[in-house]
Amino acid sequence: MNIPPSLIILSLVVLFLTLFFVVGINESLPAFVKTEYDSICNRYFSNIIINGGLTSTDITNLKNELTQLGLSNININIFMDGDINTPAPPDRKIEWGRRATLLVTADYEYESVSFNGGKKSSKHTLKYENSSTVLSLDND
Amino acid sequence: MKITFLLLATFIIIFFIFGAFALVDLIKINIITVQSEDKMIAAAWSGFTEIDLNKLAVRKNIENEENRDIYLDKEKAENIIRQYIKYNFRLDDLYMPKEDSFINSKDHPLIIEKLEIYNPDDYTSSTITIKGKNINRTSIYIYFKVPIEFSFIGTLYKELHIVVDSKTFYSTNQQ
Repeated sequence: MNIPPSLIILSLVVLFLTLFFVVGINESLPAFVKTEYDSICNRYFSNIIINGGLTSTDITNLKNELTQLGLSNININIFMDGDINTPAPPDRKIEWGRRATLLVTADYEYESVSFNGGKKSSKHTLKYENSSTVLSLDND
Repeated sequence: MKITFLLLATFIIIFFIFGAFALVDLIKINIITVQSEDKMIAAAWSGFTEIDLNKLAVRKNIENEENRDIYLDKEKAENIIRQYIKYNFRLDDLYMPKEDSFINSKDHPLIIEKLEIYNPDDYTSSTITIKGKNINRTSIYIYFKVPIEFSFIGTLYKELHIVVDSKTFYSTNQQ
């Protein structure tokens, strides 16, 4: 059987174009979520530095925003002096000049196309951690 | 004729394979850039606790909350900022990324090209412009380079600039 060369090239173009999009979607989905996740966490981290911590309402709001993003198993830790065993006092009571860290972990599960043509479930654990000194004088 | 088609097919395959890797690398750059800026801004913020008490004692504009002058002890502020940079980026004393750092190139250091602290007497005595914006509040400017490892070509540095001031903060980046 004599296959025209142009048909071979067309098949290769289609094959690699498909591969390109599969890789693109597989890699882009978690990346977009990660960027949004960092942006949300960073907003609350700024609140910690400016206000001396988060209230329980703030923490609930943060959890809700991350849940709406499609994340599960969300853990939020605010601790002081770079030591996870020194939790921050609740309700914006971290003193001026103390080192505060926001650590948030969450799972992102999504379905992607596998190379054998089916769907596969993928899970990424996202982590946000940032540290600075509290600049609020209102809670001393 | 067949050789021409074969070459064309090879070119198309290579183009798409490299295209897929390039796409992954672009996503990688975006994620590392956003994280680097967030962490550097947080580190810069820590410098605002190092207030120069001697200048604070004699400063003017103390009653006007909006235009209140803040003077930082530049040496102390820089020291604490550098501590936070190492902590936030997970770097050793030579600014090499540790194993748990989000920076994917572990054998190249993060480079801090400039770390400038501007007090009111700096920006009132002369005009200071960074990335097209005039500095008119006590500010901390950091120009740094983050190593990013790419497929096939190895590690390249991404240049970033952040400015944090006493009221608001903003960042700009340069490719």
